[in-house]
Amino acid sequence: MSEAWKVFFALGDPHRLEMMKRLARRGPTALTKLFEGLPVSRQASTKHLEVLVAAGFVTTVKQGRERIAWLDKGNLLLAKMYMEQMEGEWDDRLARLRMAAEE
Amino acid sequence: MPFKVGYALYATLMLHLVPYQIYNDRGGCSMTAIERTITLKVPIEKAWRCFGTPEGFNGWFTRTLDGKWAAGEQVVLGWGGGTQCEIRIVELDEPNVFSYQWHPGESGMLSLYPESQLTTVRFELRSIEGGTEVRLKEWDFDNIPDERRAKALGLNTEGWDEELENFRVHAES
Repeated sequence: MSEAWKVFFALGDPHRLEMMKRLARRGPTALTKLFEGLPVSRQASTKHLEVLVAAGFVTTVKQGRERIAWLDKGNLLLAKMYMEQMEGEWDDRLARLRMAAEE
Repeated sequence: MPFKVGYALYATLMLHLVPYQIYNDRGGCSMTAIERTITLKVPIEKAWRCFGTPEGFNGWFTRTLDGKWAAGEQVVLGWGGGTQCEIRIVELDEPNVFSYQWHPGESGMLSLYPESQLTTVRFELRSIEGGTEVRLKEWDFDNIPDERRAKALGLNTEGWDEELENFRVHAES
């Protein structure tokens, strides 16, 4: 999968987005806490988490009996893509401003 | 050093350093503001018309404006087909400064999200030889939560899931 597709695929699911949001808010989080209240099984949650790990957004490490996950660069990628979209919108508007002003 | 101790030290270090790095990076300049400068080949009085009057603003930004075009006022911008959003004009100083606040990239009123999530857009006009320099800056993007960013990118919509499913079927066939 290309880099862009990895990003889209990883974030294109409400459960994975919810995990990303939780990690963004809480910082490093134990998996039991991370999966708490998600409307899917622990097995399914683990699969979703694996997608995020494969995409490089999340890193996990075993600490004692628990596995801890934290956001690696997911929120940075999201913020970067968002800023690029906003910049694109301004570039379009400024092009129209130029046409309107100079006509 | 026993492997376990070394590993635990490494893990502890990562748990503390990595998040710090992330939140530190997030506060960086490029993620919080957009800046652009363009030059228009018209005198400043003419360039100002694109900002100073509703007719001028409709000429490039919007199709309709509803509200009083003055500092401190709230105005509804329209693009036809029911797409509209509301701005609050902060500065309208002829012929140099126009600024407003809004929820960027969103269709909706100012009350759609908390005030703390507004960004500010500011245009600064300056007479230069042969025309007018327009400097645009929009800032406070760090006020916007990740879920709004994801929504703006269309990452959590049903439509997107469908696209993804199509892609998967195509890729796996």
